[in-house]
Amino acid sequence: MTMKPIPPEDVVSTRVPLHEAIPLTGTIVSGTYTDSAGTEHNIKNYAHGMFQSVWDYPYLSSSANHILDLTVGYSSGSVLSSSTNNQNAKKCNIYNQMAQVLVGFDETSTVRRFDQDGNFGGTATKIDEAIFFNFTRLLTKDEIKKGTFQMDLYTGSYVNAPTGALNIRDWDSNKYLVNSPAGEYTLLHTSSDSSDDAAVGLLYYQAGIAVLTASIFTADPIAAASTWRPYFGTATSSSFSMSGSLTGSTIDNLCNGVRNRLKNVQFNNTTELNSTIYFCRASHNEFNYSSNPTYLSASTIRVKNDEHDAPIAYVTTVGLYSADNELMAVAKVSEPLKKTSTDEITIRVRLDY
Amino acid sequence: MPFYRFSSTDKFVNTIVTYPSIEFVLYNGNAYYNQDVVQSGAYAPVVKYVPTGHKSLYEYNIDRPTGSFGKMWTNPAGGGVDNTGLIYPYAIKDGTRISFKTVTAVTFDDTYNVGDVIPGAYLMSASVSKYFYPSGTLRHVPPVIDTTTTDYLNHGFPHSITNSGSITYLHAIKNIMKNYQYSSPHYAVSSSTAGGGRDLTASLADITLPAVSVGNGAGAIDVGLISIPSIFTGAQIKRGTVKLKFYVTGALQGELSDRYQTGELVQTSPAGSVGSGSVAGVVLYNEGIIVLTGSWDLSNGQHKENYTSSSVAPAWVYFGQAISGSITAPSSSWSLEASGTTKTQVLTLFADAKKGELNHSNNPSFLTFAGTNVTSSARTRNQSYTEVNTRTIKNVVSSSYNDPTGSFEKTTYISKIGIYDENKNLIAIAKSATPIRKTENRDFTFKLKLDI
Repeated sequence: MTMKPIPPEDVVSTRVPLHEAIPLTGTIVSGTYTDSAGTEHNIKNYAHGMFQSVWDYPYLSSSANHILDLTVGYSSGSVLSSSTNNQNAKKCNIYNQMAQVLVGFDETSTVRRFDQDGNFGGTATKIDEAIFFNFTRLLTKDEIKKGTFQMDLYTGSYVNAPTGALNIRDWDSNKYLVNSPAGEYTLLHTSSDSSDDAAVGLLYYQAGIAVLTASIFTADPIAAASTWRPYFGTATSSSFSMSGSLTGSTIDNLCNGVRNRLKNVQFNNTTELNSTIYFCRASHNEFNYSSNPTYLSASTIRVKNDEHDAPIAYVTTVGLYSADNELMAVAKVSEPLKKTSTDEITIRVRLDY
Repeated sequence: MPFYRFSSTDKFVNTIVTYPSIEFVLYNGNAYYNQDVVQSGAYAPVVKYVPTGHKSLYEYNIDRPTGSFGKMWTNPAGGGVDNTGLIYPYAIKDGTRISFKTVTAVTFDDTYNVGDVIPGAYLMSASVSKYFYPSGTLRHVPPVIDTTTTDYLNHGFPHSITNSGSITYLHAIKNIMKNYQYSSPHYAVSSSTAGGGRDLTASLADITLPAVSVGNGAGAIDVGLISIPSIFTGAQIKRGTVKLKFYVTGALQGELSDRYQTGELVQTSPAGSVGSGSVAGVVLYNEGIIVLTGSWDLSNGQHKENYTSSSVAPAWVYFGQAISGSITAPSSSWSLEASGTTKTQVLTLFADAKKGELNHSNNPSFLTFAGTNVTSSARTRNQSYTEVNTRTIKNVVSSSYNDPTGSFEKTTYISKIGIYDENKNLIAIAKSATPIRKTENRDFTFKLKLDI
């Protein structure tokens, strides 16, 4: 075995993206696994009632995969916020928690509100009532691939005859913002608007979270102040509009309403493979001899027939050692490589991690 | 919140070894694993998209609709990512040459352009498999070397390979079987004593070939090989747990087990059956492979069936033939029982709460409420809010009376233990089922376990 230091110029680090196509149809997240009592076995509600977990199969099955957590919240500064609301504190806390993580704090240590265009200094509309889709790490991996997110959502009428279908997309992979503490994010727009129009939500790529404005359930989803579309709930009372539900319904019921209007979600994810490539070079006058016990027979080199023959060795393994001469990794070649004093070999060793 | 450092005796790693049971029933072209039934889904004919007796390797696509649902996105070259309803991986061809192992170098180079999407698949599964090697077929097809031509680089070497040949799995495990020979002579690939003289890698067809290439066919026998993927067994099959049962029309014809834990499969029942006490094969425990060589008639001349292309008597080499090729053998069924071995490393930490320590809390409710001290200045109208500095620790010692409570004793309730790394980053939290009352004269040791 011969050891040779690898110079820095022969060590190259690379980062390669691998992707997965993730289609999630709305029918999986609503109504597929419902029993006669109306219980949806792929939906998990919790005693705290602050969010709802959606699985792709009844969650008591070991085969089920967790798809997303769904929740709803509003800012304490929202016109809808009132201490008499159902779960008012929890809805405010959810909003604040998500805003702390995704939007951060301003210079007075106040939690920033979600901003419709991402420009905190501007006067654009704030998203004060929001629906949060937290996709699991199983699906988003390192990040959602930019330019691939699509959501088809019904925004009008009530559950049994949904109308007002909107195609919400991350239209341009090159347009993203970086002023979030949670990484890169972009603005989500509807297909009926050009990408330069006001956004209906935000998509955080690395966090794997989509934030939609609840005003998407108004007659004009772009203008928050316009009339809320009626009948968000299952009854035809105005109190079941989105605004009525935000004030009067539990988070779980609000999530049920959103879920039942979800026609399709699809995106691609990205996993980054980090690799280091070591170019191991054996010059013409190196690695031509072996200290392997079988290299010699009766003190003569086996692979030499004549005393004038040049020494020959066969390279089978490359060992990578640390600076302290500890063996860290071993690379094997598929077949032994013949090494003589008349040729040079460069072995490209790739270490993935 | 106090920090304590774990001493070397407060943390250790041990290994929990478990032995999951495996049972395959083989019948009429199907394998049934641990009496599992195939679940039909709302969208997919089979929820996990795997046939009966198979394990899904990823379990990523559970009950999903499949079809052509348009494009997820389109790249400028006109390709893109298809929405098939299933989750699948893909890579984009670029200078890094990253691809999937299932894509050959030729396909990568010739089929895909730079920027193209190279799709993979997650619908992969594994199951038990059976291979039958009749004595008349070659175990090893030697390569054909054309000595009349030169190699394609025209280096002057006087040959090129026109057929690279092939070897069977049986031939491939030759060295591994030899490695087990310390355990039993029945592991010998070629032996003049085991099985009355045999050579597992020889076939009668070798006689027609030049003897120097392969062999002369001496000792050629029928061999059955059963492979159990490691996804079922874990690290290895537990020694001595393999049991094979051969049924004809529901009646047990023979049972093999490794009764001496040497790896030999000895026919142990029914009592007095043909071949009882004989060795019918061996188990390669680490590799999950069973090699069967027993060829005696288990039915004692009472039954014949198409275990191969012709009607033959039941024998151990025909075990599980119903999952080998197109053979069905509907009158026979087989069961294979074994235990796997899985090893799970568990980190155990002992967190000590010593006497006289952890007796104070920064929780606001630890102190009695005394209101907020507000002072104001009449001249400037400025107000200041000052926390009362005479707040006392709330006495929670219970007594027989409602108020006052018992004699004061510093009391805390331990509800969580945080584990921090050397940079004081919180990396784990252990929570007790109920808060644990800690007084100054009590000490506790919490045992924290983490599967790693």
